[in-house]
Amino acid sequence: MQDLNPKNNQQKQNDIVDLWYALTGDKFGKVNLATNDEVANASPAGTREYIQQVKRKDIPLVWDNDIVVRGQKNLHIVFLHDFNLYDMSNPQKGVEDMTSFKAIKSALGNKNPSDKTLVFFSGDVIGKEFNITSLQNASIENKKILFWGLQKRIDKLIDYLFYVAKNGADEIILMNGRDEHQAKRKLNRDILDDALMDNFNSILLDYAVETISGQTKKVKISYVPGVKKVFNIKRITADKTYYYDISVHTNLKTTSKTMQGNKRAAQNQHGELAEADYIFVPSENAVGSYSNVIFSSGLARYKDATKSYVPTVSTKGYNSFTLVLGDANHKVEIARTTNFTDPKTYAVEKRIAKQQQEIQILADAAKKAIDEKLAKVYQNQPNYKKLLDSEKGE
Amino acid sequence: MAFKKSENFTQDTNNPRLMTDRNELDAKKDYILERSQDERSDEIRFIKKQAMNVNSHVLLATVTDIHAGGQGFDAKRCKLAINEVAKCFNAHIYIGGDSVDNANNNPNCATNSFGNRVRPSESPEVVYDLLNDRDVKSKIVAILGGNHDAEYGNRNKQNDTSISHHIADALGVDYVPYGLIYSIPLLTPDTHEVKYQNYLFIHDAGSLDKALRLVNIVKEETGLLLDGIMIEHLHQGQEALYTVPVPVYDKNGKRLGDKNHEVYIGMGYSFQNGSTIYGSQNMFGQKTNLRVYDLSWQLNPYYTHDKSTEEPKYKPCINAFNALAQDADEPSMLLKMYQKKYALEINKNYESNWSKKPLEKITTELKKKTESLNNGREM
Repeated sequence: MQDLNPKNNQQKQNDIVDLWYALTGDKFGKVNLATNDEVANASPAGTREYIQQVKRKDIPLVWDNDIVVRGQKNLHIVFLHDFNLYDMSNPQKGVEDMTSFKAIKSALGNKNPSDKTLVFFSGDVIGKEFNITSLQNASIENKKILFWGLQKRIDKLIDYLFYVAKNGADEIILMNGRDEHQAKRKLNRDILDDALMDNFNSILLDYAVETISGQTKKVKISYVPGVKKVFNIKRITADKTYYYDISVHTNLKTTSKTMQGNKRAAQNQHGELAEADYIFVPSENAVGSYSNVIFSSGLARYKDATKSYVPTVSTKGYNSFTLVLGDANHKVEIARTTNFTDPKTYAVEKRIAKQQQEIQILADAAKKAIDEKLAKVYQNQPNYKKLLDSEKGE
Repeated sequence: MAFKKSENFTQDTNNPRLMTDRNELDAKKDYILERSQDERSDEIRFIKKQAMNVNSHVLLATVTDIHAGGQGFDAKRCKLAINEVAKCFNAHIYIGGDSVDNANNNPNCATNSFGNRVRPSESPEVVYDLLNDRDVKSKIVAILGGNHDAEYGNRNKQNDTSISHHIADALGVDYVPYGLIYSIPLLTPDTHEVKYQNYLFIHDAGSLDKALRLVNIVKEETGLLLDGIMIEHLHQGQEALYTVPVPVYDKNGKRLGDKNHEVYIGMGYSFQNGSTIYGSQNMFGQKTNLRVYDLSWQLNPYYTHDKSTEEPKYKPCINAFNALAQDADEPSMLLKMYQKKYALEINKNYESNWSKKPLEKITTELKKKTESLNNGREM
């Protein structure tokens, strides 16, 4: 029978999902995580269970672990977000020619070698186009289904985690963004907590990174639930311990392109920003800083825009910062980096500056000497009688 | 075309006071490339300057909105900030508009504050004293007029005198009425070639959109692509990065497409705290400060040879921080780190030695030192 509607029919939609499951094992839709036996033996919950569940909903504002800095004076922080892994609508900038990796490496390296480097994977990593609708509507070219499922995205995220660990990160923190929350709603799974950490936590236990010097180091990777979190930074010196704090606000949804608009959106969506020494809001749309609030740039090509609007190109490279930690609690300053010199040219530049200064001193001394000579000329009262007599004699 | 390049700075004009007379090489390190003059009147619209000294890193200090003499003016922190920054041999000190709060002596003057801490006629002296230091003066790029102290400022209507122009003349530095385009030569990190970063300084752009539009307007007018626009007036101390599409043409003028150009918008602080009772909350705000920028070139990680028309090989690294600590009247930790590298101590023995020698010996030594420096440059 002739296919009257070749482009879209229920049969094809079902077939492609079945095929996908057969090929990859990926499932879609919400999953009740209880076993069949558990379901058979279950009974209705009471007030006590309700109160327990309500208590569990409260996610504490402050992370219960400290970010520890031993001896170093600086903490280099890098924000990596808006990866949009395997999404077509707003792919990562530089994904086609691997310059995306170079950009991450550049952000990690823009610091002093002695600085501790903390990397936040601050949300919107797994992308949006992994749901069943995207699969059902996927094009097929050269017998390839142009759809990239959740498992592929998680595998890619792990690649990035190892890349970051090998290129300078000392500690990595993963936080949920909108994409991860969407997955939680649709699939009933906390992707970063359940899927990711279970999958490769065992690898992490034995994981060691060989650094250039031949030494090995373990990179701590943590998953931190919540979208509004305060982190204590604990700096341990020989004689004292100091504390500073930062807050991080992920999960921002806005199409505003100004910092004020993004700040208002973050305040509204997070029930006010959590005050801290510095407040970080990973944002694709606004890049910059406003008082102690810093909006870091993401990795995607475009800013978020209203549906059907043409998006604007996003700005890159404002995602790494150095916190200079002072010798008092909460005495902290921020800059992009504390690399203030070019090691190759610095000595020559200083030498030239010193010579210029000496020339300036000599020029000032010469001006002073000329002024003094002139003063003597004008102070010198000529002897007119003597001069006139000598002229008569001529 | 609205503007023409002025050929002769001393030509007859109806308004000679609007033009600065200094058309010669600035003895310190900058020279004027162009004074763009409006055909319709004699006004100087903007000045294009170029720094001479080449470094890998430069410290640009934007001393904006000093509001000297007005209620809330923080003289101690202002002097401290300027002097500390001036210690760095690679500092470029730009004095923004509103260096004076109340330029006219009208008791009903409409300024930020409803009270002066200093008599208006004496407030220019306050600014002059702040800046009249050898280390500071030698690093001043220019002084810009603002709405409080320039000839057409709305808070200066009764006066129609440019106080900031007088201060610039007294110090022997350049005065800029509306806008300054400043080109700074910096060394590239890999090949150590000289490449210029271009910054526009204006007191107020009106709105973000208008500021961003200046990128294409300035490119059309001067051929220069701006890397940053430094705005004042709002006393906010912010920074932001935007992407602006810039048309690309071939050598025949045919439009090829657009290039996405990243431009930095910086906004300086002020040295005036709260100044009126209805702004009392400002008295509880942060202390006054000076925004400084460590400028350099960095390699653009997105650059490849194939994408050379879309992605530049080098991107400006504009590393902003505060000059003063927030909790004390002292340089910030970051400025202290910077000074460890760039502050030059004046050799007092050298200075006192040569100040006593006769003129002939001084000039011989001067000649020797200048030749040695020039030889180094030629090599």
